[in-house]
Amino acid sequence: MNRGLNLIKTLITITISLVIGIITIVLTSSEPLTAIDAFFRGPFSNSYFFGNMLASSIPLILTGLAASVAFSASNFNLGLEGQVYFSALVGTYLAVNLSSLPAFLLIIIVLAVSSLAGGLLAALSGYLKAKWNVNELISSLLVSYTIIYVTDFFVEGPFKDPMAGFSASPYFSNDLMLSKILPPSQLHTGIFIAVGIVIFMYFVCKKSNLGFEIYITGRNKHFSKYAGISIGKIMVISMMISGILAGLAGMIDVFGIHGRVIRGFSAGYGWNGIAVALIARSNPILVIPAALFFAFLESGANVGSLLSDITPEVARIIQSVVFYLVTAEGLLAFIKSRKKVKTDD
Amino acid sequence: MEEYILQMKNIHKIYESNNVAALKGANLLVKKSRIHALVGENGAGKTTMMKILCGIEPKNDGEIVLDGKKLSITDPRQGFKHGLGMVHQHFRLIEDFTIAENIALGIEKTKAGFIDQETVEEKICRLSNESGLIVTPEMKVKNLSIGEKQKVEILRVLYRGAKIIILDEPTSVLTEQETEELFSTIRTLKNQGKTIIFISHKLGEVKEISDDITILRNGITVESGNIRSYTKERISYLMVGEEINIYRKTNFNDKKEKPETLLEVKSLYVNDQENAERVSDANITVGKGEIVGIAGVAGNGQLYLTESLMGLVKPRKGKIILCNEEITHLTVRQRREAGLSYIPEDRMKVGVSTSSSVLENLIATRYYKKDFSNKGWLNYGNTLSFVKSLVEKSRIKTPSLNIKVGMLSGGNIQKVIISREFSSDPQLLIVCEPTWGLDVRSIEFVYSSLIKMKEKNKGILLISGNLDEILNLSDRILVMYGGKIVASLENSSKLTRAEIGEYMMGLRSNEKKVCKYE
Amino acid sequence: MIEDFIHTTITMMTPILLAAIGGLYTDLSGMLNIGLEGMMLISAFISVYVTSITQNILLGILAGIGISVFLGFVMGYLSLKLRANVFVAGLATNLFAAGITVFLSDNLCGSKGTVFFQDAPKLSVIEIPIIDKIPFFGRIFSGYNALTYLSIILLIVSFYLIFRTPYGYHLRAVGKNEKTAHSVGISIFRHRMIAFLVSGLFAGLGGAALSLPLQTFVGGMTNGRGWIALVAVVLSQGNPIGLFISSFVFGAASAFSNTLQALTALSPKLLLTLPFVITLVAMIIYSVRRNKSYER
Repeated sequence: MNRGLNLIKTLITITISLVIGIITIVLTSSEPLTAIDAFFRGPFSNSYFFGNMLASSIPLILTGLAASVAFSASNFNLGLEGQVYFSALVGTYLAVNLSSLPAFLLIIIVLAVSSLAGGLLAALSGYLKAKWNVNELISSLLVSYTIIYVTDFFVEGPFKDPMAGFSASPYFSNDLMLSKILPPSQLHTGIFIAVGIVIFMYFVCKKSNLGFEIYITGRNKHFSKYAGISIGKIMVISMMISGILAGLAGMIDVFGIHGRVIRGFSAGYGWNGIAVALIARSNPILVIPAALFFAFLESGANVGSLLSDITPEVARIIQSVVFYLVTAEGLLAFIKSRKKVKTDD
Repeated sequence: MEEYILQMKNIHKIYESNNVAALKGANLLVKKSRIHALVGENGAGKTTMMKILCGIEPKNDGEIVLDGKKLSITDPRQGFKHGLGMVHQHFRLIEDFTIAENIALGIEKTKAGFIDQETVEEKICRLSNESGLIVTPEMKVKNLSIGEKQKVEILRVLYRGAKIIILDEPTSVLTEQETEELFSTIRTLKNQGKTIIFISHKLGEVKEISDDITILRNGITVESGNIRSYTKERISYLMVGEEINIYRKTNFNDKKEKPETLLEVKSLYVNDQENAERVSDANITVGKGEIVGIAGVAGNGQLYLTESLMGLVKPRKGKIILCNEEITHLTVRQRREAGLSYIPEDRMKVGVSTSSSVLENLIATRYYKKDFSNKGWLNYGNTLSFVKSLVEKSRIKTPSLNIKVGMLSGGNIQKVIISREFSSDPQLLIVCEPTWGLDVRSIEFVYSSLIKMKEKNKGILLISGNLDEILNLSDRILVMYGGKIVASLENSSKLTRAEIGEYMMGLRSNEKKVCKYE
Repeated sequence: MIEDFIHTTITMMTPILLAAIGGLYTDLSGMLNIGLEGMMLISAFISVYVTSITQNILLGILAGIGISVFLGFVMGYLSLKLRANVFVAGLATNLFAAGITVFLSDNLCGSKGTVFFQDAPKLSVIEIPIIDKIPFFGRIFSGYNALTYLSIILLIVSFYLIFRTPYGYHLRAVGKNEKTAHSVGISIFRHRMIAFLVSGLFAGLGGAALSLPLQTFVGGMTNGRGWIALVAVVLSQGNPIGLFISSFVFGAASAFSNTLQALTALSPKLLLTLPFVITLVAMIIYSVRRNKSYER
């Protein structure tokens, strides 16, 4: 019953946000019908757009998962953006500099080390919270701001590809790239990795001791501590897992699409991951449809801007409306009461 | 009919948050300048009834007539305007504000837009003199004792010109002496023409102080009338609907020899977050098959003592020894495995996770053990059958194992905690305020569970502010005052409430003597 | 030299202090307003844009305030009436502002990056007569734009409002113990809603203080100042004097970062991390001190 209610609330949220999106398009476009058509049907109109939409869902699935794990322990990881970006830098650096290693081994090493880098960044906020009760929401964000500048510094300076016309690192070997599905679209086999990680995380969250500890700590810290769970450890571990997943999001995106780290390539992965987790109500499996929805918005806006005159930022507006409404518990009651008023008239 | 200053008729209330019908057609008729007792078990709807009267909660149905005029109020401000004032069981005070600021809160006097504290303080002093409630207006509330805080609450109500004063379980947190003081205040107010509604479930007090009585049961008014026409037994019968004898006297002197020691606490000191000493030099021993009661007014260090025993707070110094092994530096989980169990005072915040299921709550202390978990993965089948048997054995009334614990009744929540804590084969049980807010039947379950554990030769440290509970269950009684154990007494029929009360108030101390003796 | 540094610090502090005063009101009402960043950003765009098209600074500022107060209303309504998570509503505010400002600057000004409003009247520097002639102190106390002076005045006004008027008592009562406030007849909803609106007002002023002196809007130009203001609020523990001190320190961090960029060859990117690192360290020190000997 509760699940049904949540589903209805989510559907209402999505409907309202799409309506606001349509209104925005109508207000700003000179050919609103073409634009709306491109927005809604564009991503499904051919395999190129469709593949790109799926491709852009991959990092969102992983950052959504990252935010979910943190939420489960009732932690806010607002540093996802920096963790994605920094991990990509670390991973790319290794991939460029250890090119003598066999490709398969190198990929494993790169993924392990780069995701750990993201994990440690997040774990720092978990540690500060566990040790001195430093608000993890603020600390993870400040760390993220700092690390984004540091990463920018490397990508613009010491680790910049002199041949590139913009700020980007050198390419690593093409052998390391994940193979493409549905070319010429950007869809790559990373999607299978992402789905595999979702399934693994589902079992970790729902069926393991650690998942139980994270869940109980997230619900009630006092009780958790009293029951004998080390809540400090859980805070650090849950943030660390969150950071690791964010790091994987960054590096898999690099392995699948870019082949190097480009300045600001991760813009929005982290924030949208938080929204994805909220829509999925921190359920690992539901992260997949939620991420697909956000990827659809992104792609719809992009296709719309190609085929008509809308600004791709339309997606941002719709996404922020989703953000506004997704946790609104009273939304259903609000709509009910409005209906009542109308029928009373 | 016109003799009634207040009439509440056929009041209905359903709480939206949990769909519980708290009041199902309750009535209350109060005469002017009388002390009217409103009694009933926990959850009978007494407090809800009064919150509706004062406009703190809205009602679903019913009629309120005040001074012959129909009353419909929707917020507390209007309640004050009509001369209705409530002193809540859990004080509604801002700790960081001064007494004067708290009393005037919401109706401050201003001069050119700024608060005029002098006028406020003058008025408070006048009210103090009239009512005999002496306070220092410029003192911060956080530095006051419980009794003093209650005075501030009553003054706040008087400051607003209340004609009807509602006292919600005012004595539950007071010592005997403070209660006497409160009663004399109540009588003074009555003589000044105020009407008092006195909520309580302590029948002795009700008989002593009130003129009239209304008895609520399950949200319905059962009977109402002059107090003289009711005996305590009759009131008790009407409240519960049946007669239950909850107290079983344990045999005090059945064991002459000293029992084998289970728990030994040696000069334990505990500080709070602000580094203030909350427990100083506590020395406690609990033997096998022994119930040691710790009496004391809430807030005298009991919470810090028990939490440090359980490992939730680190002591500053001292030693805790359980079954001849030092556990001072162990984690909570290690202590539990060493044989400690804990029924915490704050049931809803610490004892359970209200938003988690019955199953999750019951398994939370042992999910990792080899019966329920294999290499880090949970074994759901074993967990389910274990939890099922626990629920059946303790007769926890729940529609399903997946329902959130917060949806259960208070008594069943306590059953969840007790069945979880008592089923881990503990050696020593730390039990804090185990019957707070429970109905008679649940209290009986708690007491019989405790006695069963005692008979199994387990040690029990019972912390309670309820002296009857302490006197009826304990073999030995310690009294805590100001973070110190000020008395260590053998329980016997000669020991009186008044004597313990003096220790609880800090008027007497015998601990030094006992130390030497031990 | 020192006076120049202090002068820069106070200039850098102004937007932070203004937003922080706004955050103080929501903090006192018991809510953490994460949306300060977004409120500032949207006002930064709207105020300079409206200033440019109306050729009137006051109208520009009012428009900027208006829109950020509206965002405050939305946050308040969602979290208080529709029971949305206040953190998430704050994040939504930030994301909405980030999206809509780029959207608007693209649609209205035809650029997603830096928009320079050449024709907009400039928020000019005001020299206070006599004081500006005093050596050393003249530099410290004079030569700022109107919003800087206003921020100090509003800080003092807020101090009296919070600690000397019934409104301030009620606001603090709501924040400290809402049950108590409710039972003495203080409306929790009204005070929290007002706090959100007031924080919108101040964050709006803060945003205007960013874009108007430069006659420029850059996407994401708030660059974490709303968050730094939020930390200043947390560190102030509800005290306007503490709020000034922490805002001043964070202003100094920015000024220091600027000075080093001008004077040394250190990488500007790395120097830009300075305000965030200092803010984080301040936050940690505060938490460590507050927790003292308490061990979990």
